[in-house]
Amino acid sequence: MSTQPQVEQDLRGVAREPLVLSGRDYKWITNRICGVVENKQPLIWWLVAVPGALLSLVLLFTLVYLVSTGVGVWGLNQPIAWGWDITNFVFWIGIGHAGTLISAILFLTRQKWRTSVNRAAEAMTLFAVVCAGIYPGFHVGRFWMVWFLAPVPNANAIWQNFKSPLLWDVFAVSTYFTVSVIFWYIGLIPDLATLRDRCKPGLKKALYGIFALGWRGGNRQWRHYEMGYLLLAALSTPLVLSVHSVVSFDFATSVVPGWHTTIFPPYFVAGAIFGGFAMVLTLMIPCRAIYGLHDMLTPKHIDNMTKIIVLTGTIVGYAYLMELFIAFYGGNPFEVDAFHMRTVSGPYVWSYWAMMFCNVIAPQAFWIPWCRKNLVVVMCVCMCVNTGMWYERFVIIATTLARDFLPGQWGYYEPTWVEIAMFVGSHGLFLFLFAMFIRFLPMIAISEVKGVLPQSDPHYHPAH
Amino acid sequence: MNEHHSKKDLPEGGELFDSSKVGPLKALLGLVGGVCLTATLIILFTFSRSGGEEPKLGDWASYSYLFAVIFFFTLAVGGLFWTILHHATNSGWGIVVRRQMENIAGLIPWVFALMIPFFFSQVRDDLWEHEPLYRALVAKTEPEVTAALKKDHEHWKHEVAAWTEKAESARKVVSAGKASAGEKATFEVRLKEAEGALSLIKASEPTEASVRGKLQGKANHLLAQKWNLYFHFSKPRLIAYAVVFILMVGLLRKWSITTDKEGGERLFLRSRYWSCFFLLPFGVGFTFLVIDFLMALNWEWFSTMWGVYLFAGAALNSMALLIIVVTLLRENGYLQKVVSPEHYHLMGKLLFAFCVFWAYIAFIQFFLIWYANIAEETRFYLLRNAEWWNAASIFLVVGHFFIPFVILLWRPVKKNPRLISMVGVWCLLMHALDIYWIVIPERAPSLTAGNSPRLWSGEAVILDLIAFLGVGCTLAYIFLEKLKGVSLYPCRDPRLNESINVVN
Amino acid sequence: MSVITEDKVKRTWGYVAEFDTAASVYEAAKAMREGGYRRWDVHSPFPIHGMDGAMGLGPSFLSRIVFCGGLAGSLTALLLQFGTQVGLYPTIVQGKPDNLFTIPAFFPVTFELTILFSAFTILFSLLVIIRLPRLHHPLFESKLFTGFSDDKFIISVEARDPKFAREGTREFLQSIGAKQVELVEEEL
Repeated sequence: MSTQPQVEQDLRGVAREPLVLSGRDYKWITNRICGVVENKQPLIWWLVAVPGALLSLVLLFTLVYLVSTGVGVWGLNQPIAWGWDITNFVFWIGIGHAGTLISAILFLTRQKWRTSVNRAAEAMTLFAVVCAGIYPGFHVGRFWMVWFLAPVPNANAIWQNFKSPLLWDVFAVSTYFTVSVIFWYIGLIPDLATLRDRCKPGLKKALYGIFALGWRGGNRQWRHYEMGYLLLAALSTPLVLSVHSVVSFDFATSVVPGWHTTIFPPYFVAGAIFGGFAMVLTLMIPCRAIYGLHDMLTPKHIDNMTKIIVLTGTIVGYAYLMELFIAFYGGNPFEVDAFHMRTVSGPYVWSYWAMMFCNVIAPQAFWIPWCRKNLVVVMCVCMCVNTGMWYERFVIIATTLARDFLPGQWGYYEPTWVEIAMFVGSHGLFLFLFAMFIRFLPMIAISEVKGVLPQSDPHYHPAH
Repeated sequence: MNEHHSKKDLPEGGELFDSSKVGPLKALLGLVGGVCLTATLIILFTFSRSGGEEPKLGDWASYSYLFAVIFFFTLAVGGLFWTILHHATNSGWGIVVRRQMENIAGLIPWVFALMIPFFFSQVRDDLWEHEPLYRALVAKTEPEVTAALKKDHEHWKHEVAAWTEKAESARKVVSAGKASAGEKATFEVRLKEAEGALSLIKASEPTEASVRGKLQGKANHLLAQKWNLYFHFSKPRLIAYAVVFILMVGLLRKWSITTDKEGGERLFLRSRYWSCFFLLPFGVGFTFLVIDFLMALNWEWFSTMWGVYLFAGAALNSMALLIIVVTLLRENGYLQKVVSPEHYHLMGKLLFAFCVFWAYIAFIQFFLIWYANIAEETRFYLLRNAEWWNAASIFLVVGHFFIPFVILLWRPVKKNPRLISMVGVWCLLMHALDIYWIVIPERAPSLTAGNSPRLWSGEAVILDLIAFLGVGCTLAYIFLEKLKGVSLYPCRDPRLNESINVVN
Repeated sequence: MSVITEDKVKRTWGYVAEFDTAASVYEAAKAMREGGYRRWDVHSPFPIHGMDGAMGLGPSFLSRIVFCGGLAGSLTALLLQFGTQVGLYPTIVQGKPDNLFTIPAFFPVTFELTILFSAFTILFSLLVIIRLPRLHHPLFESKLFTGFSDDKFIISVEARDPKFAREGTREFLQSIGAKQVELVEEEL
């Protein structure tokens, strides 16, 4: 080695931590991740998948009941014409935004640690969007008429109103789902090829083979593939921003106090990242323990994600406080009253403070390093955030509508059993789909994790 | 492949800026800055109206000065943002340019020093009309009432004259009898309208009582806005912002410079630790500062997005300035071994990202206000879409977003120091337009209390230019002064090697 | 070079050579390029940074196609919205005009369709450029080759390459560090 004093290079706080621990090699990574798909599933998988399937049936039952009876089975009425349905829609779509956003933004900012979480996050996205789509879809009442939302020439010569935020939602959410599927699938191709090459000839091999499209991993393929992936990431980032912004337009373009505020779009986006990371951790920490992924999903990964949670949680807190401040500053009496009733005297004050605690106060625990390391604390805070993000939407929707301009119109909203069953059922569907994903597809991006090993650098030379 | 450098190849103690080479430039900057700044300050304080007089030169110049100071404030504070962000995210790529971020941020104390005139009522009263109004209401002083009465009366006479003229012209057509039946009917309607309006206006001649009533109405609104709570502390708040920002930039810069001498990771870790906490006062301080200075230009208007909007512009254009500074240094032979096209590529990507982010925020703020169409909110955009300001608004959309967006999509531009610097210069120009567009349209309506027939006063542009040159040249002079004495890059930063060899 | 065994006709497709590390295959790729080979490729479990340079390939041209796709999306959306809202079925709602000045309200859908069209362009033009799906390929007959999706790095050389020689290429591959070399034949 050189005789130069190179002290500054080998310092504790400066050294970059490895992304894969225990010096694992390519073979180990392949075996471990493919093993999850190839081996028998542990008991706990069945304990998630079977109840998930049963709850999905509950969801199916309530949907059939809803369609055969009418939307009146929900507790919606004037003045609260949006209740749990839109709350749940925004809740799921928020979770659904996180996955693609996480994996696209982290890809663009060259955060290599993303490789261990992006696949699961993207899968989570798709399933959450599926859950989300159910609510507005069935809210139209006659589900078979949903095609009226699409700009298709029809016998009445009527066209959609393109100035309506609800129509933008249709375009935004369907585009988002399509692009997320493409993004996810393109990322999956090399890993499907790995699974294909490991299977014995048979149906499984044929299926993996068909979906792998005959991938051969040649550099003449990789170079276009990488460019395509980069472009998709570059498109997905503003797409996600736009989709959650459009969802926030549903509220913010109105003149309703408490809904109309200019910070809504970026605040919804920050909230989606916030809730999304919490949901990713909620799903991945158990998976890590069950399938022994500790070397790929290291404390460093969890540490990074918790830091993002505290950052975005604080941004969300900034937005809450800015809304309050501007209501006070602007002095519009309706606005002042709306926030007064949210925070001090209204019928839903409890939900506001539940939201405040879960979204703003609880994540502050992550300032403390011990809390970021202790998985029990991490799980508790993440559950808080998941709950809090639901409350956020509920506060925005129900609180605001319950207290309109005219006191004569005031009301109170409570969900019916159908709404509760649907909400629980959609969780079942989400878990069931996620369990199926774990069962049949590699839940960590094999090729990408391999790519961040130190020996993957062509200039790497093992230390003497 | 690019060759791998290591610290061994670099001079010990980093590179020092040779101040003697820029002597003439510095002298020129000092001269122009000094003269223009002094002129602006003299105008501000000697040609200021008192009470309800017609606006004087100094009143117009208040807006010029605010525009100039805020423009450079956003750039300096953006430098602080990038420094904090670089530390807090534990980044490595930008170590070689971080000293320049710190130097840009180092202007913050000087910018706050230039804010001292904003403590004086000669300037405040022109910019933030709620202050004299509020004072008048609380004290119920007569000069304000008399002035308002005089102004209202002039406005009333103007209206009466205008409607009389309309009525006369319509009457002429009707009585001349040359017009066809249809035309005659139209003009009869017009005549009736004008006569009706005229009688209404004549009946509402402003009296002292009516002016008092109007002022009381405004007072009620002011009181409803709880301004007496929030606004009374605007001067202490300004001091608080100054303390907080100067403290943050002072500490980070000091730690960075000390590391040049002592090496090691001690202060590197300390900077990282504290930067995470600094994000909070930075965000809150910046938001409320721009609310106090800019949103309050029209006290009836509000937007929750305001802080984010100004922040987006600040971060974007501070990055543009950083690129320009680094390029200028490289053109003069500095930083040759440490800054590579890869760094330009990274900075170019950040420039691109914030260009899009600014557009997103700006569009959404406009869009939601336009769509909801609530009177007290749309005022902001109505004003900026009246007369020629409309052209400026449209140009801002094209120039601040579309042009740099399309150019920056192209990778070779981001890797070419000269080209990316030219884009940077363009961004700064657009940022100047943006700040100008925020501050200046408020000037004529505010100073003339809404009675001015025009929103644009061409002569005042000279004042804007003088103020801009004064503040800009002075700060550029100070910047050159700051380059002296310390290395142009953090020469013993523990991440220096990683940064020099960064590949993306 | 066709060999007839029983009733199957086989033709030499080329060679595959196996390497152990990314560093060694990177050096080998440089040697291949300097050796003047044209129809060859490096198969790896992940994209190797800098391999394009080593193989002498330029940057991908995919982005230009996608730009056109995005533009088509924007135009489609504007046409759809102006056509229906201004031309076919004008409605004055939300207090918004039914002319050009409604354009801010058309922005969200325009944006979404731009992204949608771009994404589809990426997917389909990518598949066309990299010639997938191709479910069968002579390389899949090779025993060595499947290692590419696990932990091996494979260089394949086609017999169609002008520099290809049955013995010479094998020796060349071994000389640049291949651990194993295998002849690949395709059935006709």
